[in-house]
Amino acid sequence: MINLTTSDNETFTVDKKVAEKSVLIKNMLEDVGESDQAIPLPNVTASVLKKVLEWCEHHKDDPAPPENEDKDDTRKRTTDISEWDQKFIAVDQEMLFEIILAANYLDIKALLDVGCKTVANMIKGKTPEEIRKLFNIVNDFTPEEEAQIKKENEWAEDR
Amino acid sequence: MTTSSPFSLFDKLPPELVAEIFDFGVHSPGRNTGFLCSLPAVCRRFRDIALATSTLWTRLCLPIPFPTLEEWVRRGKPHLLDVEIDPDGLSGEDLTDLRRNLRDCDIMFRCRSLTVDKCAHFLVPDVLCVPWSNLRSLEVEFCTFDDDYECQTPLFDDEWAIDLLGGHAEKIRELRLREVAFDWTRLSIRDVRVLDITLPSATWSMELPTVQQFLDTLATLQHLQVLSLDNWTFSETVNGVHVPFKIKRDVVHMTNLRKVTFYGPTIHHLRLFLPFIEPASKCEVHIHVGRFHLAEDIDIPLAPAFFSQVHSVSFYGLGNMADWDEVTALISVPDDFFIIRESDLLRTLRQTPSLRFLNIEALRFSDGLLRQLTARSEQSEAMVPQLEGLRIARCHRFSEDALKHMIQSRAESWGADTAQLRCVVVEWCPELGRSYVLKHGENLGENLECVRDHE
Repeated sequence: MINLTTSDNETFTVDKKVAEKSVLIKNMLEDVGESDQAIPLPNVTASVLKKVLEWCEHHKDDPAPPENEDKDDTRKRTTDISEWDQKFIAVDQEMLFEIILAANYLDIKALLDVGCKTVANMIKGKTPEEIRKLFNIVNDFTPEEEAQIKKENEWAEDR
Repeated sequence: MTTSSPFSLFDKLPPELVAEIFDFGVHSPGRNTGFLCSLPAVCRRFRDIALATSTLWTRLCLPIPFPTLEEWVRRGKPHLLDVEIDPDGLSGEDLTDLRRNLRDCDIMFRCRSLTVDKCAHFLVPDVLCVPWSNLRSLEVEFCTFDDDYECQTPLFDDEWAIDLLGGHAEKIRELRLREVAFDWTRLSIRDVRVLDITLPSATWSMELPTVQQFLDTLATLQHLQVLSLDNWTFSETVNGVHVPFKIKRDVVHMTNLRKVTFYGPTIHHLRLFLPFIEPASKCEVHIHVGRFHLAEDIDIPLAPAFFSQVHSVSFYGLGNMADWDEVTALISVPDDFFIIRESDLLRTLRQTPSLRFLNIEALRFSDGLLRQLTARSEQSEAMVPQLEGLRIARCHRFSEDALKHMIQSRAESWGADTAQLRCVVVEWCPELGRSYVLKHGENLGENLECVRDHE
């Protein structure tokens, strides 16, 4: 078992196999070897780590993704998310972004993909104004810039 | 630089994660022009990140206006491009403009994959004739003389099409040609991994390959992994009848071929070529009947070299029916429509001693087939002794008792050369009722009622 300490000083004891879904933790364990000392995770809070570990537990037996992508292939990607992952990631926006940050910090590629796909799906099909409203983003273009952008995209408005 | 609202959660994300989110949106299926237009128009930070991420601009869904095309192509440099063209609804003039835009932006030289949904021949005259030095994936649908679509551009002739691809296709890895009204065996495609060919419904005006040409071509495709043939026919078929022919080669050993799919009338012609093909071991086979074909037109031939390598077989009858009314209508379909006959199912299974997984969808079969699959004793020779997985969906005319009896008989390995049937899924079979879903993962010997799940 492995101990993990969060930024808010909470300690989680988890199965090594579950913890090693994180490449960061896996590398740390390889570097320091077997130790009773808790691994500090200063960039992750307890509430977020709890969610991340829930995902790791569910996916602990998943096969490792292929490492080398064929450079000849297209960049085709999918925003499909498995049913379980959809339920898992159905959280408020703040938690969603925290999970993305934690997955990035802990180097859990598959979880990072789930988070990024979810946000991409939220953006798809929306106008700039709808995206601003959804994510509380301020329109910081000058009127001239906005007019220019509107002109650029005029053709796409009826598509 | 943070220029969006300090309260936006996007501010927490570093630019590379924002770019990754954008990347998923741009490169996932579906037209992406709206997405690409919206992103740089949200706020300055979004715009900076989008414009600085050149890979976002490499998937072009056309048509788009020339100034936009030119700008997006510039933003995508130096990467290769994935181009998707949907000419539906475009006038002849629009198509001419699009062709000119492609040429003027030098898109073909940077194209890594090209998909054209319809009327691909509009590209033939001067666009597709440039060197395809970077093209790896080509998926195009042509128009044919029997096509309902009101095509605005003239059709090509065979020689144009061969010229189009003949000299430049060597590096293509994935080739999908739909409604291909020319003899594709003349193309040089020796590196292809995925080959998916659909012939037009009416082939009276085109030159069809002979069985010999087809096999000779397959023999050159040593890297081929996936083969799909739809609406397939050969020069040896005259008015639907096979004329006598001779093959001057041994069985073609296709050591990388792992997935084979046959659709529609192709199944009528399997006996012309299937006995001469040997795929890789553990090959999977999918046989789709389609809607408009009579049982008597369907013929699964004896092809021991082919079937001995097969580990997975899927038979599909009416296709993917999502509606329960459609499924129940199966029962009233006349006997000779839309089915693979039980004798053909059995002939296939008898030839597949290595079969591990069997999937049957939207077909009718009797208890007789289930009895053939039932294990009786260690001494008796059972069909598909290695079968480990079975799925039956949207099928009818068999009884629940025969099904259960078969499953229970194979609950354990019953001889040295046999396997345990580990997984059974039965769903949406009209005579068993909509709510009847049988799922069985392990411990088959236990009471089946435990795994009978009423939705």
